[in-house]
Amino acid sequence: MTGLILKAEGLDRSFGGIHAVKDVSLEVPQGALHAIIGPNGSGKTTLFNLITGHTKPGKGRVEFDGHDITGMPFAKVARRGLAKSYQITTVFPLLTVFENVRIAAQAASHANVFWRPADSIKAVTRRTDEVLEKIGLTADRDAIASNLSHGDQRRLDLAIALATEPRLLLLDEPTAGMSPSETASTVELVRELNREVTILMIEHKMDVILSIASAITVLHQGEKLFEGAPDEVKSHPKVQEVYLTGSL
Amino acid sequence: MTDLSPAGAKDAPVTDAAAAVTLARATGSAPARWTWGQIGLLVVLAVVVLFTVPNPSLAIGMLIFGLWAAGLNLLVGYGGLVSFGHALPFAYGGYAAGLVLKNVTTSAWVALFVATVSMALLSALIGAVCLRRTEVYFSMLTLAFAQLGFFIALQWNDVTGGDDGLAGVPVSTLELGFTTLELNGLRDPLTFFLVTAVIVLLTFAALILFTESPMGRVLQAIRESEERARGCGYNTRLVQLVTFIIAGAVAGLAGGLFAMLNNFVGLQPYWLLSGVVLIMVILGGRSSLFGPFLGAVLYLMLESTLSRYTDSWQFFVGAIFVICVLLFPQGLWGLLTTTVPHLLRRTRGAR
Ligand SMILES: Nc1ncnc2c1ncn2[C@@H]1O[C@H](COP(=O)(O)OP(=O)(O)OP(=O)(O)O)[C@@H](O)[C@H]1O
Ligand SMILES: [Mg+2]
Repeated sequence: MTGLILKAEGLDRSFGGIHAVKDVSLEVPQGALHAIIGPNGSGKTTLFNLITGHTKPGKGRVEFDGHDITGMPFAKVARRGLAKSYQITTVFPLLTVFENVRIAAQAASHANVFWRPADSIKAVTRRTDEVLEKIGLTADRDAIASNLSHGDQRRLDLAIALATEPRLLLLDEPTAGMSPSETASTVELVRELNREVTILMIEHKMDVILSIASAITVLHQGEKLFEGAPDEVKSHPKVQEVYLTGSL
Repeated sequence: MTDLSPAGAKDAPVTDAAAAVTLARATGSAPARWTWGQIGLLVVLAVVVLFTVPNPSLAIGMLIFGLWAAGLNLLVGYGGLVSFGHALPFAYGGYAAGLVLKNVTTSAWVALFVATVSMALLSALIGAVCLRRTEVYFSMLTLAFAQLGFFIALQWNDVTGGDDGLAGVPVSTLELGFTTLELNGLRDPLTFFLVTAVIVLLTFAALILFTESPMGRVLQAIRESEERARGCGYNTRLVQLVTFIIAGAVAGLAGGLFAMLNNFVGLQPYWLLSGVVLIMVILGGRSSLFGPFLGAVLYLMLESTLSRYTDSWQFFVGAIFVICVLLFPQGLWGLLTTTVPHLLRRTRGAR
């Protein structure tokens, strides 16, 4: 449980006139449940995209598990053990719930061959069932993904990420658009998942994250405003100001 | 005909996907999967064709076109990659087989092997370029390559025979170890039909196996969300390229068989069929491999029936195609396997 799984140094990115992420550094130790919070448009998703290779950084460097992954294509980063769930739900809409998760589990098994039926690879179907069970989608395994409720689709999004057996899980607002009870159960789920995998999580709702995070980074207008333990963040005057007034 | 197809093919995926979603919503479950049963269905269809189609070369043509359309559907239906230029590998396969038979050997094995394998290699090059773009831009690139191929075939007189084509492709022979068959489509159509049926069935079964393989499943996932497939760590471009190569090789094989059947390869009809084969796919339905096969059989039946009564049969085929796409965008086979059972269930539920 020692060592950093993720280390970002001086990440910086502008879009035209918008300076979305300004010189942000981040260190995530193995086993952490690190949260990133901040108001709308504060650069949280962009920071994720800089880490995953979706967006090339203007400046800065990303190290995953001791290896430089700056600007590396997402698929390659994913193969190294970094998975991400999406702020805007991204699943395979016309495939069944089971197949959605099975595809991800298959990726982890490296069984990408074409001379044997996919369904006959026992380790993959077992892993799929396991993940469905853990996420609580077993009852919906044969449903078409696009028929699920919004909350269940959010959870399926998470299940796909989890099934790839990542060492670092990036969650972009997993509770977005969920009802209070769905939010509560998802938070509980995230806490449970953290026993097995390091999590870096964006969350909009501060109350949600305070109870479970091991560390919190506060972003504001692309800059790191503060970083520390949850209770420090809660009592920090600048953070309160941002959250109470909406902006500085 | 060829003018009609791009528009129809471009609209269809949208309506088809939408229809599939609506249907999936209505039934709340995945459409019935007929995966392995498709091989059995094809055997049945081949037998039906053998006993009901009076014109033997039409019956053999149905098998050949059916295989070609099924291969194209790997790209269109399973991969979401609509090729507007699938005449290229078919025509190329025809020329390759024709040239081997004329100049090198009359062995069907060698001719078909050369047609299939060299087309696979060529597909790797063409696919590497076309797959740099997606959606309609991909389609346009495939069309551009087919046009390029057409002009090469037209201009390169010494090899392709240009406008006149390659006439007098000799009758091929098939060595089977214990005996040697002569594949003469005119004098002994039954042998030709049976040999073709075996080749087509084995290839079709291999295609089914591919769609159910891990890689084939990834192909379908990429169609649904390439971003997410990348996020799982898949090299999505490579999976699509492999599919492009398989579809190309199958078309090359079909083209080679067609050259052997007609003992002729030329600009007509080979290069004019990109739209036709797409129509076969969409008519039959894109959710399976059997669907396009059925689409090919029906299309050719329609064409041969209508052309007996009227010279403007293309107009009627086009009109029927338009009506079919409007009424059942999921294709004939999609209609039979999803909509009809759904309606039956509803009427049974109402009672
Ligand atoms: N690809 C892009 N092109 C142009 N501007 C962008 C792009 N991506 C992000 N931005 C801008 O960068 C800023 C930060 O956006 P980002 O999505 O990272 O914020 P966020 O913190 O995730 O917000 P939210 O809480 O609403 O999800 C915004 O002003 C946004 O408009
Ligand atoms: Mg965001």
